[in-house]
Amino acid sequence: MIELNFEHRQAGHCESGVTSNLLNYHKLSISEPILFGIGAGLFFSYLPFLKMQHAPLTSFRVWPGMVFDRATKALGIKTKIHRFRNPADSMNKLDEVLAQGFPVGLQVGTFHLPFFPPEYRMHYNMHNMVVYGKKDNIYLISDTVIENKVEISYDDLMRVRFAKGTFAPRGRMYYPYLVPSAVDLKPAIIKGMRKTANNMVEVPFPLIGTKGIRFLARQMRKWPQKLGDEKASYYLGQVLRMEEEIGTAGAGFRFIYGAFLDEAGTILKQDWIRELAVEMGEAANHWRKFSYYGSRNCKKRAKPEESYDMLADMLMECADMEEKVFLKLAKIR
Amino acid sequence: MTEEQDELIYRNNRELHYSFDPEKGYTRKVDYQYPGNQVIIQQGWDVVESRIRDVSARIKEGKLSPLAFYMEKNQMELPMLSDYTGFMRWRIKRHLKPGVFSRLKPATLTKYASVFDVGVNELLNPPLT
Repeated sequence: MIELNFEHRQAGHCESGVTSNLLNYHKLSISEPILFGIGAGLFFSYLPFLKMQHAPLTSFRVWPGMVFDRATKALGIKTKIHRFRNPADSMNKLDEVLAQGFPVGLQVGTFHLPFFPPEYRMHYNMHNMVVYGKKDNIYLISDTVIENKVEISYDDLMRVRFAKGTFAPRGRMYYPYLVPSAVDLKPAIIKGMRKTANNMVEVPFPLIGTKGIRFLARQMRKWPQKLGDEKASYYLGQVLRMEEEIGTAGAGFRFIYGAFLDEAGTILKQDWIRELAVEMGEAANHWRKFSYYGSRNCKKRAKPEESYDMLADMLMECADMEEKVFLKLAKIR
Repeated sequence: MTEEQDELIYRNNRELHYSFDPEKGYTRKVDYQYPGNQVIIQQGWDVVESRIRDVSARIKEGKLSPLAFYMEKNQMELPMLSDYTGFMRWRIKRHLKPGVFSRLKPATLTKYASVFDVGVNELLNPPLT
């Protein structure tokens, strides 16, 4: 029996929350927003040629694993990351690492996750949680979405670690094993900001960053004519579900990123970044408004003026607001 | 913006939410998903339900095998079911034909049943809606 002294804290975004909690175990206290920012977690992409649950894939954050990888690398933290072909191997390795006294982060699918609220049990493979102990055949879990610590059986854990489909986790496990007692956040923060600014406004590809938001807006205008009301509403719902994901409060991680800019401005002692945090917060609130009117539309409660055209206009405004923020942020050195 | 205070649909878990207010700055609170979000989560499940109804009707007409019911129920399309079972996609496609499905070997049925978390008997007689 192993039970590590792991502090469970809820978070707004599973991977940066897991990263923050894992480092906290190693006595390095860095907030979730700062890690989200250093890991350049904020993103936008609209990939209509990839379908998820019968609708185009929209994403408001980077691919799974990137926040942990980038953030720990930038901070000089030594980590191990494993993927497996064989499920039994992955469980043996997990036991071995737990026995060495390290809590372990896991990427899992949510469809078969027994302690998850039933309404969230869709095929979503980008979820992250921490294993911090084992009692007989039961693993002890800290999941940043769930209010309290939870447990999962050996078989169930193996199953969710080998969920299939888009972004299949393939047993991915990761953990820091050598954590400095103090780190210099400044260079890491600046690097993370430049990466995100680059992703959002500088990549010359129409489907990602603020260009992607505008592309989606232009498509959205055509949805009712092109797809019919029912399918258009489902497509819109899918955009909103991704924007919500879990715990983003309806703004596709824009609130967390704003909180990052706010904290980072203080750490860097640069007031203009704290001003950008306010602009980001306003953009986030606009996203949330979009999400609110969008959900009314899905519920068929929308007034005529709350049509797809209006939603597309709001998206355009979100893109403009974010573009302003990131064009300024790109100048950080 | 004033959001209508709708009845909450889901009260299973409270999560951490960040928010921003021009006066108060950034704040965090733990609460249920706000109503707008619950609506779109429910919409997702409504679509699943309606797909299950459509497929049930076609099974009753004898146009599809019970496998189609469980694929919708578990929201698995061909590629994903192929990954879970290890069966080739074209084979699964064949198994969607009632005639082919009724002649499947027990081992094949057991494989499907275990992926869908049901007994073989339930697999053969799905609770159609």
